[in-house]
Amino acid sequence: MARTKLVVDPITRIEGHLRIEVQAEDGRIADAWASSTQFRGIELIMQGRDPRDAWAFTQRICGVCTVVHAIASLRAVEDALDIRIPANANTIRNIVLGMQFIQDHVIHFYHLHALDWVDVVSALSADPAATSNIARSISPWPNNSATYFAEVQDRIRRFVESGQLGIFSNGYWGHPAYKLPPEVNLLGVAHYLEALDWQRDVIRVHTIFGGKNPHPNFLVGGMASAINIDSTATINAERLTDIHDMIKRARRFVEEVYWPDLVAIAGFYKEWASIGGGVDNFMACGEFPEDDIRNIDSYYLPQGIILGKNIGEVLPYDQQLVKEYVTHSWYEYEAGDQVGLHPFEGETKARYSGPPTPWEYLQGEDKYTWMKAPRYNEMPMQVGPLARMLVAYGSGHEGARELVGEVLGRLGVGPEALFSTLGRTAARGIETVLLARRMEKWYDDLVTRIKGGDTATFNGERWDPSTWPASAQGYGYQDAPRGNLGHWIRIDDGKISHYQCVVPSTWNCSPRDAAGQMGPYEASLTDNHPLVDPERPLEILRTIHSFDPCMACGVHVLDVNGTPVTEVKLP
Amino acid sequence: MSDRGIPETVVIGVGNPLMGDDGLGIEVLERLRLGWSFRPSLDLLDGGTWGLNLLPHVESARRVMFIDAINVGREPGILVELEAEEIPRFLARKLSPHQIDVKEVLALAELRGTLPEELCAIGLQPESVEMSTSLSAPVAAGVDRLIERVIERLRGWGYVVEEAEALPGA
Repeated sequence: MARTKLVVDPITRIEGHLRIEVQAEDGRIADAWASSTQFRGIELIMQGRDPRDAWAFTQRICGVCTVVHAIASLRAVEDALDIRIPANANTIRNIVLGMQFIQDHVIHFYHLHALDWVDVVSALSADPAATSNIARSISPWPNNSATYFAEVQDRIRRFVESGQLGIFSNGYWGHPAYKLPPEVNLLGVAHYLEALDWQRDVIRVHTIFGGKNPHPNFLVGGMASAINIDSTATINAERLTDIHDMIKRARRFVEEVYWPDLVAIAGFYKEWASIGGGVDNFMACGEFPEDDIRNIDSYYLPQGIILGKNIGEVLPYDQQLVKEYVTHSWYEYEAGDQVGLHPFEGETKARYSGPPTPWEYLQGEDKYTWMKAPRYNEMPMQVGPLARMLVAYGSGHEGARELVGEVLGRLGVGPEALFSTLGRTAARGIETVLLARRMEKWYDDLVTRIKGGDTATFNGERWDPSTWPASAQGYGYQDAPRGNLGHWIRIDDGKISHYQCVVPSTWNCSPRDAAGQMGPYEASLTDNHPLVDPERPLEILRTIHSFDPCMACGVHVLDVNGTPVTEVKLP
Repeated sequence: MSDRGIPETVVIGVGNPLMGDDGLGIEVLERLRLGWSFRPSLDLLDGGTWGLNLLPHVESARRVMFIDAINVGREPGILVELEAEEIPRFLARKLSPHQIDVKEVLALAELRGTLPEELCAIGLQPESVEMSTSLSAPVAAGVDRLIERVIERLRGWGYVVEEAEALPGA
């Protein structure tokens, strides 16, 4: 049977999005290409700037990951200049970043990924009383009455009957791959709406510590949050209590809404525990240092590498083994297309050689993306919550072991089920629960130190450029919500002379490399991956969304004229 | 927000200052913040590119004005004004799948029954939306006219808008 070429590419006027091309054959995906279609050159605009301002530029790389890039940038500068930040600043960064993870993961689940599994239109035919019974059976969360679910259902019905599905207009509703009963669909939609109010409440942590959101203030050498328990203009007793309440509310929602929903929904989709595995190497740089970041053993989520799915052996991580290839990317290196360069030696020289736009196909092109291909010791790596949870599990992390065991037990599947689309989605939930609990400890640590008289949040010893060496270089890393993020900086005569970022989505959305090895998206889509109806490629969305891609994967969007986002071409 | 009461008006600059003309909204917002005073006081919000964070601000105001680079396919630098129902067609910006854009924020507000009474967007036609920290010449040349128009609209909404006196030492 002939292969069907398929392009999942949203709106060309929206920048920076992800484009997926596949070839479908006999209900499965035979080949796949992941392409990011926007050139980003943050590295180029960093040159010559004051390294103390780098965070403010890098936090604009992405509207979702503001905090993430800011902190990675601070760490790069602090590494280069050997700056040790005060314990309070480290704890505050953990709390800010922890809440970022929790909010980000929950929002990802309800506002992007859930609609791949939850059929909104089917929720209209649910019996609210039955939804109420299900809700009560899986969680003590109080919004669980039949009246409440009937109200939600009414609201959706009015919205749909007004002639427009609005935000829901782009789902493949009614697709046979949707398997939830209407009552569970209604539960999912109700929590989708509740998550909106929850997220706006808990993310105020950023406003309190950082001054504003979405672009909080940061500071090389610590945090810009002054602490004085009795002052009204600083972090005081009242604000600490406020933060504590938010941490408690975040945890409650995660434990009583997100986690039970995730496990319940997963139970209807067990076949996805053997679909979409792909690249079987995993990399975690580790996160949430509970001491100085140079003390790797202090990380709450450990650092390490797993090769060939062998969770019995966690190998050490060494950033010097990272290289980026441009063999199949629209860049050129001075030394040619076959070499890989470490980010300290990295070059960002764009050379577009693709076909004129609008593209028909990129598949078949030798170069097909603006993403470079990062490799670790010449191997492609999956990064993100699954990588972190596998490394944690393999390192004997008690919390990870307990929750992995719980979810595997409740689904009745073995550990091999982790290496899948469902595994990535479950790992994100496991991580969220772990962090929602750990936030309490960080909060307690902070309060204990403050009560003991330690209110330092800033180390200014190396603030003045006259204290810096003439040349320095540093590596700032962060295991961000979507995975291993690296910022590499070189400073000469007080100014940035070189800056490179390798972001998590570059690892996961990587194209093929010089050796022809596929990146994780590509490998997952071609690993025993179904595609029942090429006109409605719901299965592709499930797998790609399970990675939580952070470039505009506008695959859930319609363009201004309501044109469908998927174009299907027959050869 | 609720404990301060409902703010009458919020002016939201949206866009990315690293993406050339897309930084227009943030640039104009800063100029309003530093150069003008408003009575009664006005919420001036750096909306960046993250839509979902905008939802609470949109929902809790009676009037919302977006300032942005707006692509209507005209010559760069030309002034563009959109009224409520025209906005979703032109303000779709999405750098990430869950980076909910203005269009979706308005749809969510509608679903929740919390759309503001008045809604408009004012901006300029961009020339270039590519990685750069400065505005293109035609867009930079239109900024004064844009600010003038923003102020006219705010005055039309009953605000007293005056040029701020330079702060001592500033």
